[in-house]
Parts: sequence; C-alpha cells; structure tokens
Amino acid sequence: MDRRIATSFIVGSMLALLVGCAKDEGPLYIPKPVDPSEPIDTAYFNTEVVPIFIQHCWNCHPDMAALDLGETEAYANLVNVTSSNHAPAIRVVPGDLDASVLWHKVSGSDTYGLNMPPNGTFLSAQEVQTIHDWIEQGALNN
Amino acid sequence: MNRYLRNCRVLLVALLIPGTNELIAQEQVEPELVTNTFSWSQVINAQTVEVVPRKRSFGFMIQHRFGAITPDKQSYKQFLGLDLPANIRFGFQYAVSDRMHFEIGRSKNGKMIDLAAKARILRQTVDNTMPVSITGFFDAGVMSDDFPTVGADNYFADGTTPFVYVFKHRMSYNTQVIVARRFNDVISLQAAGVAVYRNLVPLGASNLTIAIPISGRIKVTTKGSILFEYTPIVEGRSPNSQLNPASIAYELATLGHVFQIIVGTSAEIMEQRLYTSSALPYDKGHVLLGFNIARTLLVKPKKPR
Repeated sequence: MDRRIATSFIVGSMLALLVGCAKDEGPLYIPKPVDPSEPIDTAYFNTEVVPIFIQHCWNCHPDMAALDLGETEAYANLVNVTSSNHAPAIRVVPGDLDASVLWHKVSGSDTYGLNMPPNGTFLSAQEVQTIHDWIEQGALNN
Repeated sequence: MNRYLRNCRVLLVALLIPGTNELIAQEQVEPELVTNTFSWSQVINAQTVEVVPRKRSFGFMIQHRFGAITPDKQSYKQFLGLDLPANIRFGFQYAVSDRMHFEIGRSKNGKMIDLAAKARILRQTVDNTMPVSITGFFDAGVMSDDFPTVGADNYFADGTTPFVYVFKHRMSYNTQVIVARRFNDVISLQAAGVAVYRNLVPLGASNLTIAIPISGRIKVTTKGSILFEYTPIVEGRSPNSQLNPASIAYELATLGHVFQIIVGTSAEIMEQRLYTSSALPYDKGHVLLGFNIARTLLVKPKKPR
C-alpha cells in the first residue's frame, strides 16, 4: 500500500516538475514613449495612489491605526510627516524619492527594514511606477 | 548490560533449538538505530532528518511568526511585534511507512498550499557503522493568492513578449538532502543542501536558489533544548538581501508533543519564500518572535493475523 502511494507521489511530482516548470522573469514595465509636445501624464493621489493603498495596505493600516492609509487620512499621514519607526526620516518628501521612506518601502530597497507589503502580496510594476510618479511630481493632494 | 543479556538469551535459544543459526546471525548483525536526533520534523524552519515515526501515524503542526521588533519605542507600542501582521502555517503529516511521510500545508503569506514527501534514506547506528542519518525531502508549493493586475506596458524580461500571468507562475519547488548526526544525549548537528526553484521571479532575481542550512540542538534538561539554525544562501540570493536567515529557539518536547518559542529574522516559513526573500536587518537589532507547536498522533501497529 505504502509503496503504491509513494510511487504515485513520486511519479506525480516528476510530472508536476516536467509539466509545471517554467523559467520566467518579470514583469518588466516599459512605458510607451512620451511625445515631448504632450503634457506629462500626471499621477493623481485620490484616484490612482489611494486605490493602491486600499488594495494592498489598508488591511494592516486601517482607520485608527498608527498609520492610517484610508481615503480620508492617507495624505495627512504621509506627506512631510516624520516616520514613527524611522525618525527623523520623512514618510513622503515631495519631489524627493530618495528621502521618502514610503518609496524605499514599496520599491524594496531594504533601507528601512521590512519592505511593503510584507504579507506575500506585492505591488505590480505599474503601481510602483504610479507611486514613483506621484512623489516625483510633488506629492500633490490632487 | 541489556544488550549482553539479550545476546546470552539468543545464544541459549540457538543451543536448544537446531536450525536457528540463520536467525541468530540476523539478530546479531541488525544494528541498533539512533533515535530522536531531533524532536520532530523541523528544527525551527529547516527540515530535520526525522519523519513521522510510525506507519499510519499522523503529525499536525502550527507555525506562527509575529511582526518585527525594532530597536525603538515602537516595539513596546506594538507589543513586541504581536500587534503587527503575522504569518502562520498549518501542516498535516501522514506516515505511509515507518520511514516516509507525506505532508500538506497552508501558509498565510502568498496563501501558499504545499505538498511534500519526506523519506529516510540512511539511519545513524549506535555502533557507528553508519555515522550519520540522511533524509530526502521534496515539496511543491502553489501560490493561491490573486495575481496583481498588469497593464499592456508590461513585458517578460526579454522586453518584447507581453507579460501575462499563467498557472505555472504560481508553482515553486524545494528539494533537500539532509545529513545529521546525534553526537551524544546532548548535541545533535545537521546540515542540508536545499535547492529552491521558482517558476516566476521578479526582474533581476534568479529562478534557482541554493542554500545550506546548518542547524543543531543542545539539550539542556530532559525535555528542554536550545535550537539554532543559520542558512548561508550560496546561489540565487535576493538582490536586496545581504544577510543570511538565522533563528534560535527554546524547545519543550515530550513524546508526541513539541513546543518552541522562536527568535527569528524572517516572517517566512516555507523554504521557497524564506531563502529567496530578505531577512530582517538583525545586524541593526531587528528580529521577530514566533512559535511552533507540533503534535504527533501515534497509531498502534496492526496486529499480525
């Protein structure tokens, strides 16, 4: 009995390896070339950045949490606010990615400890790019 | 002394009953095996050489890792990381023979379901004719979490093939050969070769990761032990990671029941994620707490008819 189970598991595993093996890397985000005559694609906080927080962050950063990333409080809690865990670093410095703790957390730089989100989900390259553009364009409450 | 008495008894039987010489030869050459190199199937995160020890028996485990403890006052506010998001895995094992078990588990991070098989290949003997125990382990994991949405501007690493997620991208594999030796009643040491393969990796990462977990147990009381493990990543390290995962734990073990309190450096539990992600910057004082609970339900062997 055990030999039959063991054999079927080993055969199943080998099949899974053969059928289920891939060697892929990505996704690589290549934005479409921008026509210099066209205005810059503005990143909007309320309609583009906040939905990212709601989808990926709000579960652990809800209303009343130490860092509330809900719709109403996210901006006030992020921009020009000193990080409670990494003071004196600032959570979001408008126009300065390198000085923004949020950017290091979502871009996986390891500069400020655990990268975000930490629970196995991850931001797509496009979502990371949106946060990148928003900070770089001055972190407006638009 | 017991061994001496047993040998005398066998000799006496041999003298009285003719034709038992063959049996005696078998009895005499059958070496006594070293048991309980470790208390259960994992040291802390690393697999041990142990399997669920008896055919048709069950094992059940809960592995829990809390959030990070940082060297500042926030850690007290967050109750040493207990208020922060945690990772947890439930595992269920079934022994199909005295030397092999299968396992199914589910962990929170990545909503990962894993199927594993573990088999003893060689066992250490008391007389040292076999100085070490060797065990093989294979695990296949399926990430069941939703894939993030990807737009039309996303490509595979070649930069030309449009990126789409397929089922294969959920799969990752982990194969190990584990070698351990119980030196005496106090010290057991172990090393393993671990090959982790992930079908899909982020840009710049390697599909294949090779790690060599080195771990051990020092028994300090009859039931209590100090455990440690340190895992050099020799190939395919995460591009952001400079530190190797490490953990220490205190273990309380009775027959069939194990409880461990852990100080670790990663919230990840499965090797496919543990050895491919960044460890906490423990050189700057960041660690986390966790615990493992394991229960083995031994089933009586069937009586021969």
